[in-house]
Amino acid sequence: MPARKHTEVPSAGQGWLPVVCGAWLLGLALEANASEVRVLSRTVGEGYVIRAPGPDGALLDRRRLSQYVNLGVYELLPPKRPDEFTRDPMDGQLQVVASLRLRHDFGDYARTALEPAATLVAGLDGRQIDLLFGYIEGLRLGGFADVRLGRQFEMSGLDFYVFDGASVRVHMPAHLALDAVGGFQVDGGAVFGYATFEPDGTQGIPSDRAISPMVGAGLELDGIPWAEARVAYRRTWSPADLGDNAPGPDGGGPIVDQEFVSLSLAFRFAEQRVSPFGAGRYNLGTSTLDDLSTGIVWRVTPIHSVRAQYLRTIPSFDLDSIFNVFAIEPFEDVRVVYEVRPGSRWTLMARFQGRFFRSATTADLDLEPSSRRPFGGGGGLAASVRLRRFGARCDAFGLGGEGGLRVGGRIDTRTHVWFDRLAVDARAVGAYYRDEIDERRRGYNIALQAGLSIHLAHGINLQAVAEELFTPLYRHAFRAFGSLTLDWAFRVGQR
Amino acid sequence: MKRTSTEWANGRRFGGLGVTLFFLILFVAGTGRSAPRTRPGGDAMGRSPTRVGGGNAARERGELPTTAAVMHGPTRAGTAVYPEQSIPLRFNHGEHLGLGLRCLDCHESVGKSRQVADNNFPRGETCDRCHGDAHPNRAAANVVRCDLCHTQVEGQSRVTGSLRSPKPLLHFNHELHAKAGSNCEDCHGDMTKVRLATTLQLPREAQCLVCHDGVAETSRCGACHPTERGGRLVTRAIDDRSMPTLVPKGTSAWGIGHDLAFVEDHASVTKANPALCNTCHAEPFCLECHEGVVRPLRIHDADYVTTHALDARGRVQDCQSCHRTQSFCLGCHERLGFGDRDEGPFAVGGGSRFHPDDWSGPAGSPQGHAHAAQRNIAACSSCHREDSCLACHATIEAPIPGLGANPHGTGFRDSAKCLALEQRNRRVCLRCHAPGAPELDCR
Repeated sequence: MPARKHTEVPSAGQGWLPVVCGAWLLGLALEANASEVRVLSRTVGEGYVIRAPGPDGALLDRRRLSQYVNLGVYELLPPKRPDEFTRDPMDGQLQVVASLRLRHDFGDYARTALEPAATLVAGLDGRQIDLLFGYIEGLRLGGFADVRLGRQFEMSGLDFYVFDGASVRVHMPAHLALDAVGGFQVDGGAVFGYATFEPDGTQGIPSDRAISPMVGAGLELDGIPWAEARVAYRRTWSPADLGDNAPGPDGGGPIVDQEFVSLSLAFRFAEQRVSPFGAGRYNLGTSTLDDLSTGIVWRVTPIHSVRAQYLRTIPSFDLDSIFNVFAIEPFEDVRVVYEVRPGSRWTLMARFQGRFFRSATTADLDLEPSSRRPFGGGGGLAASVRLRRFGARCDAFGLGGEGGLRVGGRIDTRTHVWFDRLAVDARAVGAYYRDEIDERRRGYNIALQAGLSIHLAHGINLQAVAEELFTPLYRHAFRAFGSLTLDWAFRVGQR
Repeated sequence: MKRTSTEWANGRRFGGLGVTLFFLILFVAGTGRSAPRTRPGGDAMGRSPTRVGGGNAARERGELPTTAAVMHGPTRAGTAVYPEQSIPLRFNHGEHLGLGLRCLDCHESVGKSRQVADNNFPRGETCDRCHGDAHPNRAAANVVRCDLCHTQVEGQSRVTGSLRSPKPLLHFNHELHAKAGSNCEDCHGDMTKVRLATTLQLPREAQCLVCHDGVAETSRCGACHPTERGGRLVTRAIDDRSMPTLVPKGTSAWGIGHDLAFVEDHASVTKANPALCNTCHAEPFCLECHEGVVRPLRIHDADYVTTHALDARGRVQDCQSCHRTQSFCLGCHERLGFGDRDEGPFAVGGGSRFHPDDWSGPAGSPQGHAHAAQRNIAACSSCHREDSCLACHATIEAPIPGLGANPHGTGFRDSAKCLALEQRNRRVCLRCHAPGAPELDCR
């Protein structure tokens, strides 16, 4: 069966859906008679050069222009009681939020990408319209249900994930809440979609470009100030029923792209002095605990605090991908941060980071690792001072181990002048690096930056940053970007 | 990402245009109706008019996550909840209480106060009851020494300093709390040992949570902290970029104290407790870095294009949290000449080959790539597609034949991983194995 063309997957008519929904919501806002509309427009322009690796070493000149439009329509429902100006949050409320981005990259590239990646990077380089998120949200509807409909994020112990669909959260008695989600995973093939949060792994094959349905559910503690706990499940189907790349009869059966169960916990004991937390994700598709992080924050005194963390991860891919077969060893990371605020203006911090990279014997290849558990360590020191018109932060850092060594420091400063309307930034970064695989890949880089952030008027800000770079590769390399932000709110109707 | 020019020509462009037009129409529709700068009073709970969207409320600062200075820039004294006060007075609460005065004798209006914006300081006339007739204008025959109470005085009788007490960034209703049975000292502490009261005598969050425990009283953040229209907490009182920001730290850290390394380490905290993050941060905040168009220089500083390979191989940060390796990374690498190309300096036979000589080769030759792939194949997938692996690891009978180099190791067919994959997605097995092959079944 021939592969589906990508253009067939989401119907062209779906492009009208946001317009129809938008018009309906605008009508709803006008009907509500006192909704608040907030519009944010941000224009970002950037230009930079990079040196193409290799003996040719061509200097590539690149530019990017992006335009964001964020929209929020709030308080669609009027107050319940006549003496209220705004509806009590516990009485329920409706709102709409959306973020649209238009992006275009210009500039030089050393060569084109190979197929099938060429199809993918065409979207990265060329004109791109992304609906980053856009949904209508009902909060405390009926006093017990939160509902979202549209493109939305899930940010939890399961994943950082974006989908088109619906989610419902029901507040139940006994401090419990039950949630359920359903919809379609957003990827580069969706209407105004983008690939960033698409499960990694396969690419370029037709199934990767087709829509993938998903469902999920969770149960969590609700409204307990000292404890949060959630157990959640999610399954995403690979669109195998399309039959695009099932190579034979054995390809039948349920085709799952992702299947996870997660548990996350956070507690605050002893008046928030001791706060343990943790999140674990079990990948049912590979039968591995592929993401575990746990830690504790100990506020020793109001000005001294210690945070310790342990992370254990295995790279995860969609279950269509053979990369899952190779990813077998966890990567472990231990981090400890001590911070003290000796005065209201000063903050000092010390950080340790230790990393462990396991290697198992690959018996069939008769391969013994040079070390079963190589260690890479490092850390950093930082100091921050924040005065009325001047703020600065200094950092020193170093980290070795797998990949190589990086040692360096940076200083950031910001000075307010002209009634705090103008912020002047100055920044310097210097680092030395050494690649562990190839001794020839070592060097330094120094970056000097200057920036301005101008508060032009209420809700109108202009920002500009210029950077000069000095490395063995560049005698100098200039980079600049600027952004103009307009944040504007108005009420539709009177109340 | 995967659209073609044909799609645009077929009308998808029109849908995008429609949405853009919709936003523009909405933008223009409101030009004549700006949000009111203030609105009268608060509601029954004493929620003040301070909300984002109100005329003078905090707005987007327009800062991109480019420099650390944004987060560690200049700031006024005080906190976001209790801004810095200036009280140019001499006063001794302990002395006055010792004389038998009660709080309400001086703070007369506090019993009826419903908002934090109310001025509950004693007026001069109240002091005059005991200290003589000096306010607002002293009696002609009365010799008054203003400097007995006022600290900023010219001569003895010209006061040059005035009290400045910006309203706290809180909802608070004194009347409601008094009716519920709270005494002044429940929140303000023992004032018999206090001279001039400052923000130190204002209640800390821990004191509030004694009653607001989610059982006796609500523990909802928005019950006390002003919220934006969307329900998230207001983190700055007014549109002043030097105002302190409401940040979890110290005694109100909630287990997510934003220390100086929080940007680097926030992922695990976020996974454990995303609801708490959502209390203040909306989607655009996360997306500015995770799906941004300008790199956050705190994470990717200086010549990161050259040095990023070190971080990627060591998983110093989780690249996949912002970059999809099989599109973003691979696409860029291919255009620069890395990957599985046959030609160019980075190709297998090229002089600038990325991997060392013992990285891979025919059976029997050193296979240094194996251990790197075991622990961080995400780095491999930033340059290689699955076809790179299949070229050797696919079986000879596979639809696209390989060399049959078995990557599974011993015991794979008995493993839970084999069973899990078999039950959920056999399609992946068929990339390397021929349909019907006996080794396809787990034991």
